[in-house]
Amino acid sequence: MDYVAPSTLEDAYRALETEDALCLAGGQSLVAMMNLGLIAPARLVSLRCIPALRGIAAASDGSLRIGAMTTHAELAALDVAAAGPALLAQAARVVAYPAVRAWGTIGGSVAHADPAADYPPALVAADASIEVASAAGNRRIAAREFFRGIFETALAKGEIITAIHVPAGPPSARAAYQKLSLVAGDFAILAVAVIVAGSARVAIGGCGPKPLHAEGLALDDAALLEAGRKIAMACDPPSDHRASAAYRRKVLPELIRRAVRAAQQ
Amino acid sequence: MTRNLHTVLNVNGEPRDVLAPASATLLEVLRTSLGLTGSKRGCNHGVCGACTVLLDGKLARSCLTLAVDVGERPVTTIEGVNGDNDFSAVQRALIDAGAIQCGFCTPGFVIALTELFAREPRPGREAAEDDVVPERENDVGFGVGRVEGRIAQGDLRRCLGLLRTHVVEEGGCQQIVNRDRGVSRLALPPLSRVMVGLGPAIHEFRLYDQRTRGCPGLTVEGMAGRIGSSSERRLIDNPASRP
Repeated sequence: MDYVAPSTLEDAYRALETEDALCLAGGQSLVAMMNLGLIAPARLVSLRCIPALRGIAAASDGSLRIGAMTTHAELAALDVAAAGPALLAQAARVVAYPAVRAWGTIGGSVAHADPAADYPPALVAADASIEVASAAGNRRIAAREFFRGIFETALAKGEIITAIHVPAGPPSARAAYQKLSLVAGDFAILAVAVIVAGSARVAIGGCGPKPLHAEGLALDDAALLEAGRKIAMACDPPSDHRASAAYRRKVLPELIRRAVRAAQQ
Repeated sequence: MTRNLHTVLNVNGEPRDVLAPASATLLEVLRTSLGLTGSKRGCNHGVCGACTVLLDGKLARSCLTLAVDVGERPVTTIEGVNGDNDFSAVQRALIDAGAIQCGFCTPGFVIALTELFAREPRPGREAAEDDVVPERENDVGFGVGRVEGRIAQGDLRRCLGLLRTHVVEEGGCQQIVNRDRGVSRLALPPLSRVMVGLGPAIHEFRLYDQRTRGCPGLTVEGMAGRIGSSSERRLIDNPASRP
């Protein structure tokens, strides 16, 4: 395996032209997959030395442009009022454990697209978009179109995630991220991200190959539980070592209700 | 053909020349090239924490860090945690508390605690729980009871060799399967407690069954498990119940 650490995006685009080249961001999933023998890239293009991928820029309306190499710990430390960024910060606080949060990046996690990861539902609920770039130019992809399936995204070959754009959300909106996991630090059995502004917009992780989302949910208990039951019936949750599909269907309505209540607190 | 790359690592304050393949992890290089075998290889995919080092002063899993990608960032291993001196205060406190047990993952605990005390000399219980046992809701004893410069009470609980343990359902009960040790199954009597080690995240379970909901012996009592908090038990027993 070959390794390069370019200092500009242009050099990174060129380095990625090699067959079987992969970007290395924080490495917290990629190196684990290499260690487990699941992948064997011909070349790693480390994004660690590219300043353009770092930094969080806030606009006056509270929306954020988050550089792809921003770590979970940096996001977790955000003290923001706007609902969208606050939702993302909440999700970042429950990604894995401190050693992973110190080095894992949002760009890496988003590109990896684990269906049980914390950012995908948070980004979908926040109506975020993913900024990607290649030698051919830049584009922005809505989060709900970006995640396509298990470890599958809308990224084309040669494209690098450069930033995540998170809108502020409606002025009075509130946000919450509720994660149900076997133990702290594990991937979610189920996770619900919610933005509440008059009605609730929810996105659900761990309940299928990509985040589910629903909008316009009325806020009373009965309506939330009923909406949750409908989503549970319609979705296709996995049965795995964390929980059965039936269990996921069963707890989903209550987790949605709790997420909305947590947002309102 | 695997090509070795030359890199200079700053380990425990000294520059060290390393020739290793690009795919070599920092853990492999520390242990095999540099002879620093204090960092242990447990799960080798970032979960157990036995390989934890300080990278640029922050906690890092050396098994998830490629040696070639370390660059200029300084590395501190368990060997360098107190320079050339005797045991550090953290190590001494662990020894005094008898909190060593088998010792395999102790270096990871020492590193995690060292980082915590460097950042926060008098951490509250919440900070200690969050960093060392990353769980705010735990309600059972854990390793860092009193944290004012001393680690209390020798009840640092950790793995019983049950790395990569999975809970499976069989015959209406959930059972613990340990895939690594070849112990295919541990059938657990009601109310038995099983400690599942995920390294510095320490987890204690009672078994729980999602179908026989009310069965008392099969409810998870998770020390660090969210399922173990009383609110989660209610959620499992009755999804419609109020927290």
